[in-house]
Amino acid sequence: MEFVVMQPELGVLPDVAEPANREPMNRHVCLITALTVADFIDPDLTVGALTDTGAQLGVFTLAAILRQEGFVPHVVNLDQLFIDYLRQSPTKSAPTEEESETEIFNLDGIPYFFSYVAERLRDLEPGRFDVFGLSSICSSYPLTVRLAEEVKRLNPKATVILGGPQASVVDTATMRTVCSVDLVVRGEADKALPAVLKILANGEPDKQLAAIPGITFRRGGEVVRNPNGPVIEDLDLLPMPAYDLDPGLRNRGGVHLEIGRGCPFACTFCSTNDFFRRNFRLKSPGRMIAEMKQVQDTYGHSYFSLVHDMYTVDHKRVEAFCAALEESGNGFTWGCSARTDCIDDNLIALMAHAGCRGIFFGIETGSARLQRVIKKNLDLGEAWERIESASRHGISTAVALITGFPDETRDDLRDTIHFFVEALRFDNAEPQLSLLAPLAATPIYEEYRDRLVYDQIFSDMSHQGWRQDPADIELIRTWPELFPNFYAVPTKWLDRQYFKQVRDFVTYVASWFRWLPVALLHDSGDFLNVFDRWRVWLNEKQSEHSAAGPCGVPYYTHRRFRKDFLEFVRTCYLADGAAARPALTALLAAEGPDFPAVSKLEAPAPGQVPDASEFDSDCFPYLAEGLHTLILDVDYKELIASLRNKSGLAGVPQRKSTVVYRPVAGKRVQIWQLAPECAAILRLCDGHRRGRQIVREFSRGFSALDGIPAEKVAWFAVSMLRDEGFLAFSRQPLAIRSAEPSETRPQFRWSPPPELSSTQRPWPTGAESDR
Amino acid sequence: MEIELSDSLNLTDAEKKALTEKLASTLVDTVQATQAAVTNVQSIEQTKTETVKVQSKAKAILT
Repeated sequence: MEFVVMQPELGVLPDVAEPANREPMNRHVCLITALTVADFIDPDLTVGALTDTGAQLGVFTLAAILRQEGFVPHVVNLDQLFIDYLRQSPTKSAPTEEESETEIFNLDGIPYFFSYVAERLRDLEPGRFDVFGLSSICSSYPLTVRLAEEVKRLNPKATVILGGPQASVVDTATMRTVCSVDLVVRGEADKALPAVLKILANGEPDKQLAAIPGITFRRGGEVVRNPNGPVIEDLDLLPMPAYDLDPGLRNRGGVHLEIGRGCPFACTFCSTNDFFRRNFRLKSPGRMIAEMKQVQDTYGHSYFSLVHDMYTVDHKRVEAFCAALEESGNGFTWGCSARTDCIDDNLIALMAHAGCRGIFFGIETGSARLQRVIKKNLDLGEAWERIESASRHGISTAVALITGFPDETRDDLRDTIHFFVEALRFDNAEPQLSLLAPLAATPIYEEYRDRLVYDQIFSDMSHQGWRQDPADIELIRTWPELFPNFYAVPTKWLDRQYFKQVRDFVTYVASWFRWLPVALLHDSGDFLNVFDRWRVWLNEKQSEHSAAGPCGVPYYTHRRFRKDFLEFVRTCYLADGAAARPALTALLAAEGPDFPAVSKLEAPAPGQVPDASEFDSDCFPYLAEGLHTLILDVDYKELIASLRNKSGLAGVPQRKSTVVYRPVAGKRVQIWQLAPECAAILRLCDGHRRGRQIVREFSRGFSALDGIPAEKVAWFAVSMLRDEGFLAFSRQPLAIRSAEPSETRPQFRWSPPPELSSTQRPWPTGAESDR
Repeated sequence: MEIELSDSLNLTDAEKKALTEKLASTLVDTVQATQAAVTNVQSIEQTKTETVKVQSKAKAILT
């Protein structure tokens, strides 16, 4: 087969915004989205993704355009099908604490997703479609290729077209390899796809397709690659995405809206700048407000993930959008992407006021040297200022980092790991660390394409969950040109396995703990060294316990890792001479306990709970349901302040402090520090003492406070603890809950921590989105 | 004679102010439920939803 590149002499395409009063073509087009959600062991994990799936903006926008042009589009949303697939799959019961991760993640016998989709496609009566158009991304491209073959098998007369980011850059390799693919539309398809479909509908495709820019097609035995097509300069001309073809939209947590296209920068690892031809464009504020209003009116959503690779290039246009949002008065909230050198404190403040709740910051590396090598060129000091500013303004930030660059040294890796851990100091920052994947057509890929290795150390960018379909793996192994992101760029200074282990370790340490890793960094000055010590310690432990099982993500998501890490800090790190031993010991206590799931007190009987106005000295106060208290040997408030401010752990006061853990909305827990007097009161509130008895006992140990008698202080403290929600009251003493063996031990529940990496989720979750 | 709850309300504004400043609890931190090891948070189930990868920006825009 011969490969031919056409010369750039191309015809003019019809404008997509041309009025659509045309004869209906009645050509049925089946558009199949790319799978963007991942396959997790626990179906609940992915079913939960129904509220937060990836954007399918391109497909739904194309569907709207095709309608305008007289076609009849049908959309198969693979993300939705994946949810359905998991719901109907046999589920495993929740694992026990004793069950190893090997057992937990054993999915033998559960069929793969491909066969489920194939079945659904057969149900669709595929013979009625004239064209199948499949979108693609790198991580699910093996599935896309197999589905292309499947739809061709089901309907050999139909034309099969691929599009989207992955097919756009591996077009010729795909066409030469996958005979069922008739055509690839590269880059933005808003003009090219309807033009192609019209030619296919009207005959003589071979001759006319040569005039369509941005496509790769077959002519005889040849693969013909036309020059790139033009981009849509005025995005306001695009129709609203055909959201009516997405029946699950109403149930999602928010809606992705396209606010513009094209990043003008040229980072060496990134593929999207090429997809949009580095041509920065934005929809107008008026158009965006209209879209948001329509989605709100139709689907009830008021949170929007505004999709653009790099939204804040032009400050004045961001300011105009913020002004339009304020003027609209609709109370929309939203998230976006930005570079830290294309935003400042004033703009962040303005965006926050206009409803911005999340920003995705691609920092990429904490190494100043690598910033230059990968051509990101961020000033890392400035990056910290922007992260701090966003956090101060209540905007959640994803602080995205990459490791595993070919030239990455141990010093570079250490800088990145330290950036990751230091980001935990900010309340609204969420660090993420991904392993580099050589995305097709990126500068890094082009430089190393002849040296890629298949070492099965997959980037989270590529790995589609816990298991890969063997048929996918066979494709990947056979056709590396189609699936380079499943391969690896060789690393010069450190073993790739080491990068992977560090990535998994730091990602999940940050999922299970917040301040402990920060304290270990501040105490040691070298978190990579902490990791090395951990690795040696774990190897010794695992050699002692042969059944310990493998490491990797399954291990780190298991609670056993959490227990092991606490044991490591206690028995190894602290024992080997930690500098800030009291502070670390306090954090072990504060972040380490497994609180019992059930209160040791029975709830008050009905009718025994006094109203706030009826609460008196004869009531029995007790710690409110769901709360937990701890007594620490350092001042916790000062400890956390020293970590936030990087002021050093040596000066943290060593005095007793009592903290209360209070679960709040949005899967979060508040940690409060009590004044010593309130802590003393709370310790006496055991559900068996009356209020007056508590005050009496308290008064024996406390003198007056600022001349106010101890009894008055005690009652004031009781009232305050009640007002703060820490105390509840009963008219009768509370009984001790019967101590069944299963209730006396901590209630284990398998709740894997968040998989934070590889996400671009500018929208906040839980409580933040409700603000 | 014991001071009853009702007596504690008979504080001057200055005393109330002083006690409020001294006795008020301080919110030190808000963390993920998994980071606090609190296992009886109903909403911990929601934590799971975050495990789902929403794909990278390279994958988010599928024109």
